[in-house]
Amino acid sequence: MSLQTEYPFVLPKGYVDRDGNVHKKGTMRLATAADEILPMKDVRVQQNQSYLSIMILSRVITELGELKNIDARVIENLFTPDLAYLQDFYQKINQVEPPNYKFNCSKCGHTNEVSLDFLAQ
Amino acid sequence: MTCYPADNMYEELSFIAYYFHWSYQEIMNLDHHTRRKWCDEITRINRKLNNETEQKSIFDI
Repeated sequence: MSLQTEYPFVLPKGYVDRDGNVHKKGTMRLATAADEILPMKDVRVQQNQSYLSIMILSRVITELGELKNIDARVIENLFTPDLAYLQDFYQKINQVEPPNYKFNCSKCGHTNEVSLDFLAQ
Repeated sequence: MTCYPADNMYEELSFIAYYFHWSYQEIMNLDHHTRRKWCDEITRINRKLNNETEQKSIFDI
């Protein structure tokens, strides 16, 4: 079974381009280490950490309506609900199953298993 | 938006590079799930090898 690497989405409001066309349907691919590490070198991210999500989203969104090029400017001009939706969507598709750890209780000797989710806020 | 914990990410990148010698580009372009999967596989191989070494008699060549 192959891993799904691209996920379709529909923006709640839609991106409005210069001609007034609305673009709602898009595709996001899974994020890589490069997507999260390379934008850290960008001056805009160094000056304002919250710009990181703009940079990351501009890298992982592969399609948005009829747009030919999706860059940071497109993401900057999204309506707030759409940006929030995409940030949430990114979180969901990149959710890595948290590791489980087995340990024996020192009192009763029973084996327990706990999940440690480092990504949980 | 929460990203993958940077320390863990660098650790996993180095782990794969150390054992598999894949290029910087290749490792950086693995998605989080796949990268973690390869780390698990390397760990599994190491455990197996360590276990086999422990069980091997000193008279085995």
